[in-house]
Amino acid sequence: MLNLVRKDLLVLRWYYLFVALYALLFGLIITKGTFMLLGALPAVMMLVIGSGLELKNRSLVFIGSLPVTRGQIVRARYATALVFTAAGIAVTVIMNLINRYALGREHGFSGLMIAFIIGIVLFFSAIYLPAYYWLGSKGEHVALGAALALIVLAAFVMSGLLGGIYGSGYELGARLSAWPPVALGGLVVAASALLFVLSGCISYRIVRSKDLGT
Amino acid sequence: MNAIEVRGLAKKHGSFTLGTLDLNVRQGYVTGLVGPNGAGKSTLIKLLMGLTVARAGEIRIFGEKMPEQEAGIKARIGFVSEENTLYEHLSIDAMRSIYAPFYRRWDEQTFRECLHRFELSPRSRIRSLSKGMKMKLSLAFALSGGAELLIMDEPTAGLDPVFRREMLDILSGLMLDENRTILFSTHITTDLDRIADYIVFLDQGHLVFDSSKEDLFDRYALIKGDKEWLDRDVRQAFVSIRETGAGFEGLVRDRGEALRMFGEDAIIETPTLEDIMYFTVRGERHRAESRS
Repeated sequence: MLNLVRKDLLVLRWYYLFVALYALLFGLIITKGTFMLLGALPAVMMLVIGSGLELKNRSLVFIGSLPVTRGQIVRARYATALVFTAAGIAVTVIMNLINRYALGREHGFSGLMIAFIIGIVLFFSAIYLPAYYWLGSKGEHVALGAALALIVLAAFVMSGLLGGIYGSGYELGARLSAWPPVALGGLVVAASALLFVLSGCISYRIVRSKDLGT
Repeated sequence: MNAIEVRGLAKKHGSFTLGTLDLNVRQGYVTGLVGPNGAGKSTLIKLLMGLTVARAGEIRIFGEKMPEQEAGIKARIGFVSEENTLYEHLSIDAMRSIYAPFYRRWDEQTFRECLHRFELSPRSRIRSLSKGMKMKLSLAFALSGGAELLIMDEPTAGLDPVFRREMLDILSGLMLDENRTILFSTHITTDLDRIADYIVFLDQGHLVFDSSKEDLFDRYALIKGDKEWLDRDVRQAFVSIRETGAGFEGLVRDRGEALRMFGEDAIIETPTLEDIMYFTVRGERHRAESRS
């Protein structure tokens, strides 16, 4: 399984440059109101680009011919999503440190923001990956469109929650502001992690009975 | 001993149905999987590789069940797909760094030798390679993983005659290792004339025969003669008949019976694989039309 994760990371080698450029642009230059998406979007982008390359090259046939099981193929893809999530958080933390200590700017960075980044990426992966495996090359765009619509909605709601907590959001956010940030962050991470695990089970059921590369 | 054993295998894909199939691929030999387009060759290969899910039946490779033992089995298989499935944007070296760790018996020296022999530069991007070069690269990967069984789906399709001949020479060279088994599909029967020991012939998803090449050439006969001999009983002895202005030619499954039937009057020849495939497919189509 580790070799499959390694494959997913190596396949994207040139695309990391785009992520670096994105991080520089939205982490250092256009920073207003983008800090949460700064971490979430690169992770989502890498997951989508990796899947797109797989479809473009019909690589599920290649992957299926390797000495791995279908269960390992699915687990590896979800593990890769976790690696990308960690990478997204690292980008956010690094950009925050540069902003705070090198440029003297504050962006309201907090542990709760990290929890929301985790929530967005896991939520996106949980929706996108089963749709990707189910629809394959014929419906990749549908899967991506549906998942992106949901992630935008999720980001909107989460921004509202954060806004509420910091005094400018919705009523629900204002109510949740009464919660300790650790509890709220824990709730977001736990809920998205649960969805992520359920999604993994669904993806496995799809892949187990599906012809690869169709 | 069989490298592959297939029993009761069936698969439905849209309007196409494969099977029910029973066949063996003998260890240490080259088996050619032949049939017209749409016969089910690629579907069978995908089933063997676990890429496609069977509706019914059992596949055993090296005596172990697929897909239950698929990871262990596929570690001993080198697979060459009909179309390129490697990542086109990567260089050969980058693709190797992805592929090699999956195989415990990966032999870097074999890989370098293959690249050298096939005139492939490790720094070349895969998308810059011609179809023939991509096929050679796939073969280099398949050989370097220490495969005991090579499964290839139409490896010679779309290649020019020089490349094709070269590919067949490479495959012949591989068979010097008696433990190695090759199964490859093709609709170019002359490829099989050159290197195959056994022939599996599929038509419209059904197994027509699974037989040694020698046995086929001993059993089948191509008869040429005068159309006047073709009465109802005689016609039934043929797999199918092609009538021309000058006479007829037809394929029979039993050379001995043909000799008894026509004696020295007819021209009795050993058919090529193409003759066997052509007349068999033609006969099947004709019988199907008669039934409907």
